[in-house]
Amino acid sequence: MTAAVRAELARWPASLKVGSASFALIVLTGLFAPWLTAYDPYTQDLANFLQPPSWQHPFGTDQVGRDVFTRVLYGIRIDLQIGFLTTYVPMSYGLLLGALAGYLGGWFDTVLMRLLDVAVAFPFLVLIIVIIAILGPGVHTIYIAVFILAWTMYARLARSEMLVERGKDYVLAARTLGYPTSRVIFRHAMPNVINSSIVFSMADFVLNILLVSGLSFLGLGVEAPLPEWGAMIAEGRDFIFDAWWIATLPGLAIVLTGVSLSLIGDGLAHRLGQRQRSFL
Amino acid sequence: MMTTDRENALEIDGLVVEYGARRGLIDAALGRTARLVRAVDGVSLAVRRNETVGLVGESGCGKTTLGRAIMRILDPTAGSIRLGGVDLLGLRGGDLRAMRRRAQMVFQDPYSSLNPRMTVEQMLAEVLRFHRVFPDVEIRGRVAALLELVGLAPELAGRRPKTLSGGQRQRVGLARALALEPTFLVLDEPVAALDVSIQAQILNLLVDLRDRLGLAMLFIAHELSVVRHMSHRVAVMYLGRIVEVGTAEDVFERPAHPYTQSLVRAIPRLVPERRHRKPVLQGEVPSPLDIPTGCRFHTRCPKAQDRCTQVAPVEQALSASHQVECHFPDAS
Repeated sequence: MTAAVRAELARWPASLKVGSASFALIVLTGLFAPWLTAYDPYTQDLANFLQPPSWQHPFGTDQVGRDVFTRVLYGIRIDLQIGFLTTYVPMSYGLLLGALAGYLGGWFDTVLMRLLDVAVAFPFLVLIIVIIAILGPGVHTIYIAVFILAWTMYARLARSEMLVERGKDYVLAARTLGYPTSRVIFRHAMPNVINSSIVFSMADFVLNILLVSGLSFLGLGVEAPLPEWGAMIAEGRDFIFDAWWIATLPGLAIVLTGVSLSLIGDGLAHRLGQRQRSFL
Repeated sequence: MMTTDRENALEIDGLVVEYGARRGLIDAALGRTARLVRAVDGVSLAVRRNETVGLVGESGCGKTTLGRAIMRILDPTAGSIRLGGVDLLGLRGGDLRAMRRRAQMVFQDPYSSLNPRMTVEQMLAEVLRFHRVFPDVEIRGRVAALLELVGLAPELAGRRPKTLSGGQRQRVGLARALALEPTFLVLDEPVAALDVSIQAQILNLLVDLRDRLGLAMLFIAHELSVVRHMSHRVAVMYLGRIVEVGTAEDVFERPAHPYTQSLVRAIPRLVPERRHRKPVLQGEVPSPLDIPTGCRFHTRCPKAQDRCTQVAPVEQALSASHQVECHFPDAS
């Protein structure tokens, strides 16, 4: 098995290796945050507010004396969790619906595609403000809005790929062997449909973190004391000329996460694309 | 020609398969109705037990459609297909699945007919497990036996299609079709995508398997020399209809339909004095959206007369085994 792992690793392009390594580092840092810092992300220390970076506070302190480094570390947990859920929950049913529409066609396809047109045409910010008006602000609001709208890209990708796979001989062969439609779709066609969605999900992950950060910055996202990166940038904006570190360092964390995920996406596209080309 | 005979492995009667041509926005604006393509237009054909029938014709003549209709990948508009006396078109669910065990198909392109993500063993084992042909403990041995049957080393079981050559892939496709021990095989241009040197190996394997396993086959091809090597009887298809059918000798030595004659003339010959001087067929196959009136071959036929443009010819028997659909067949 280790030989197989080594062979697989040898085929990874550099971008995939660097991206996965730095993303793994970010995830580990988030997991072990309590052991990496002596402070608590919520405890205020009003005697030491707006301290510049020092050995005691490597990223400085904010306007109520909280350690910025600690808050950035705990922010990994929140931002990655939000990014993960807003990407992979819609992906799961987007893929499923798109693949079914592509394979089955007919009224199911027509109805789903019209629904999709509505979802694509719907302004996201209006939807999120409406949901906030009904349910109040918070992470759950973002989840609901994203779950309603974000599946469309995956549904489109899966549908168009499935339209191609459906006519290939191996799918026809599966049908002539008497396999039921569910088995033909999920065991035979589906594994050949998901590649492009997996690659796209990496870019989507980055965009979703940026989206949530942006919403938090606008005050439409997570609630005040939570150490979410976008919310921290919003708080630091008031002090940007006196205490640049409050907004800058969470911003750097977003950039670093974004770059890691983009590298993974790039590398995966290369790795999976290469494999597919040699099939044809 | 049609005899309802228990000796027939396959009987097709009056089969029609239509595709809906897409009606675009412009068609709708001009008030055009949806147009139908009749890919198969009233075909009757029988394959006896242990017999191989070759089905030839240019691309687009409907031969692949016919093969797929037999496998129920496409649903015919009219007609009947009977396999061992059972009407396939009435079958649903479990009955249809049971029929699949008796009729299987080998596809043209071995590069797309195998799932790129499954190993050879997974493909073959899935068939056996799904149809519960053998108890689970015997499946591994059965997979090895199938590979041996088609002349592949058992070590290839763990390979994925991308590491196999075209000929090896086609053998895997054949093993998959034979896994359920069918009595009838549809072979849809099984060697057209292979190198010439590999073609001969696969054809010899097919002949060998047919004789050993007692298979009836419908062998679809566009190349006559390949068909001649394989078939007891040959059917020639043109624009959705069978225009001539007979024993391989009838069709190749005494072709009666002008279309068959031009196909036979197109076979490359080694012996110079046997080379034909008459030109081979001119022009393109007419669009199946606009099938010519009368005899559908009259637009390209060297012998066409007024009658051919108006009246569709009916089938006539030249001998007990040889039928042709032409107003002016060569009776020689």
